[in-house]
Formats: sequence, C-alpha cells, structure tokens
Amino acid sequence: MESSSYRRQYSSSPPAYFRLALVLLLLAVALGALAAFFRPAYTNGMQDSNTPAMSPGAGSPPAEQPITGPTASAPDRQDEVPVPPVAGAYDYSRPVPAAEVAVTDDYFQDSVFIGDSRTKGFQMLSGPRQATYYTSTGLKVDTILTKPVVKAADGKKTTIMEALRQESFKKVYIMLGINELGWAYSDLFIKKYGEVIAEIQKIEPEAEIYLQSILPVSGQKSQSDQVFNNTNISKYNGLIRQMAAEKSLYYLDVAQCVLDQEGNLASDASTDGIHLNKDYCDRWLAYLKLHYVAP
Amino acid sequence: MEMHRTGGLLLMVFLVIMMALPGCNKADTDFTLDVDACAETLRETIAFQDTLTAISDQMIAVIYPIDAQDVVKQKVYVSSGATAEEIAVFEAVDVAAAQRIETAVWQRVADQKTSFQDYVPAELPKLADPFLSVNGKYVILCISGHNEAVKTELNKLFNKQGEKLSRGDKGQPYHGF
Repeated sequence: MESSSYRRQYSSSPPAYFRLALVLLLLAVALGALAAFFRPAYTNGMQDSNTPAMSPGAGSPPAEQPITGPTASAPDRQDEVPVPPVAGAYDYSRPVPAAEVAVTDDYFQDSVFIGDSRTKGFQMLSGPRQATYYTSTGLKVDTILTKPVVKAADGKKTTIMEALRQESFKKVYIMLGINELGWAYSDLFIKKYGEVIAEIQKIEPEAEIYLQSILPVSGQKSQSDQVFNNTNISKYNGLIRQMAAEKSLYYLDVAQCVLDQEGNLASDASTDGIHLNKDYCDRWLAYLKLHYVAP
Repeated sequence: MEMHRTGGLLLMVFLVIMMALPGCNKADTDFTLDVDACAETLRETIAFQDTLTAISDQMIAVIYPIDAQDVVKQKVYVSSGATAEEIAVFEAVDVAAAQRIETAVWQRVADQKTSFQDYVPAELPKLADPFLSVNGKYVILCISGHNEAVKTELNKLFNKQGEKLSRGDKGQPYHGF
C-alpha cells in the first residue's frame, strides 16, 4: 500500500502550492537577473561612477556594428558590470569608460590641453610631447576668456581663445575648477564654465571636448582647508558631470586614478596636497590613454 | 732720456697686461663643468620644499626662450607647481651665447613672478632673489631661498672638479658668484 500510494502521488500533477512556489522562484530568478543588468552606478564619496557610458537596456548590437561612443567597455572596478554598447546612443551622463587597449602618445598630436597649474605640471612632467598645451597658473573659468597667457611666436602673449583660433584641434581636454572653489556661488562657476565651452565649440565645432574631473586634494589638505577640500571638489565635479551630460561632452573621471582608499588624493602624490608629482602625472596620462572615444 | 725710460716702462706694463688678459679669459672659459652632476648636486643638497623633477629638452625649450644652437648641454629640474623652486644649468657654445642664455633665464624668472604673484605670493621672495651665476660658458640658476647654501655647494663642487680637471686655477675656490 505504501508503495502504491507513493507511486500515485509521484505520478500525479503537483499540488497548487507547489506550482505557485515554482512560479515565484522563477520570477525571483528573472528579477535578480534584471536587477544585475540595470544595477545603478557605484558611488562612494568622492568616487563618481565609472561604468561604461552606453545607454543600458537596449540590447547588445553585433560586434561590427558602428557606434558613436567609446569602442570598448572594460570596467575599471571589479564591482562594475559592463554594459554593452548601443549604436548611436552615447550616454554622456556617465564618464568615458576604459578601453581594452591604450592609445599611444601619437593619439594626442591633434589634442590641446587647457588648464591651470595642475595641467601645467602634467605638461612638464608627463604630458605627451605631441600635444599642445594652453596652461596658466591660477587659470579660472572667467580669466580664461580675458587673460593673455599663451606666448605667440613673436613673444607676445594672447588669450587661450585667441590661440585656439590660430590652430585647429580634434580633441580638447579641459580641467578647470580648483581655483574657483572659493567662489560664493557654485552655479556661477558652472555658468561661466558653460560659456567657456560654448566659445570653444564655436571655435572648434568638430572637436571632441573632454571635461576632466577636478582632481581631489590630499586628506590632510581637505581636512584643514575651508576652500580646497574634497567636499567642495565633489560638488563641483557633480556640476561638471551634469554639464557634460546636458551639452553632450565627454566626462573623464580622472580623479579615479589618483585616489587613495578614503577618496582623497594619495598622500604620496603631492608635497602640498594639490599639485601632482611625476609618478601621479604618469598615472593621469595612463588614464587618458585608456579612456578615449575614438582612437 | 728720463721720459723715454718712463715711456718704455709704461709700454712694458701695458704689454704685460695685454698678455695676461687672454690668460684670464682662458681661465674663465676653458674649464668644463659636468652639467648633470652640478644640477643633481643642487637637487640633492639644497633643502627644497617641493620634490623637483628633471624635464625634457623639449619642455626646457617651452619655458626657457633659448636658441637651441646656443646650448651644448642643459639640465633643468622643476617643481610640481606647488612652489617656484627650480634648478637650471646650461653649458653654452661660447661666452656670448651664455649671455643670451642669461637673458632667457631672467625672462623665465620674470614669467614665474607673474605666475605666482596672485597664486602663491609666499613664493615671491625666492623669485625676487634667485641665485644666478654666469661664469664663462656656464649659466646656473637655482631658485630655492637658500642662496648661501647654493654658493657653498657650488664652491665644493668646483674645488672638487678643479682637482680632476686641468684648470689654470686648479684647486682654487670658484669665483663668479
């Protein structure tokens, strides 16, 4: 009897509660897979998201399908999930993702780097010699339009905008903002920055414009300075990133390559907590070589 | 007769001086300085606030308006941007070229003053009193705020090199600071 009863139960269709449990289990698995696919970008203090910059959820195109955004999507951090590239849909709200292959110095031969003393340091210590540099100590988003800082062939100085009009560039890398941290209104900073971008776009309408995040300062500097601290820098970087998304500009989260575990500029990167030494300028360059749009 | 003797004496003194002068010039210009070693010695011994880093010849040309044909050898160390500290040692092709290089070095100092005056004014005293020496074909700039220490180190270096090199004033302290 026992055997017969067992056989009967086994061969008959499962009870309703069992079927319900099975359906719920399948639903949970499906939801989990979807959640993993649409996982939000990792953020932690100073660290902005650096997940691949393609729009999620539109499916994976064939490998040979042309795309307008970055050509590779290797994540920088282990906890990031690569998002497949989508034809014609570049997500400017996200930082430019890491490519699988780094470009060489020659890639920068049609590039111009614009920035303050930090970019000047980069130029002198690690910058590719093929690139052009328009830098000035203390440069700000307002003085960039008016201050003559670029030496012309005749020895006379001209503004960066005037210098841009004299030459043509395919890529424009900009890092500004550290000198404006003390401004009373951060919206004025981003408004002025937007005007600078508009002017550059007017001069170089075909150029790819890369907005680099403001590099952090050291933990010691951040804690001791009312102005030059990482809270302010993070706030400004948020504004820059938002502007990149609104104006369809490429946002480069270069801060990632110089951070320590607490989200500050690494203590061995600088003597004053602001300006990078050669080792860290080398890291900056390595980051740029790995984060590009079109090789 | 007395007048002839006086005239002859003066002529001899004049000739001796004229013969001695080229010798002086030779002593000033016919020595060699190891440009790399000189710059490295300053970098290692002077108490700079910042870490100074050597830059390429191409970058030197960007910050020093010097005609490449004037230079035999050069070594420049710069700050990360935190300070105005800098070391620059040039060997020129000749004394005239060294003077042109000196002009370019002063221009660099002036440019740095402009850069730092609103940015880090605390660096201006270093720029207001840079150590700059031009001796024969060599031009040495050191912006550190420690000029006495720079002189001491260079004197040591030149005494040491004087023993190795066949200078006219072998072993004598270096002059020209």
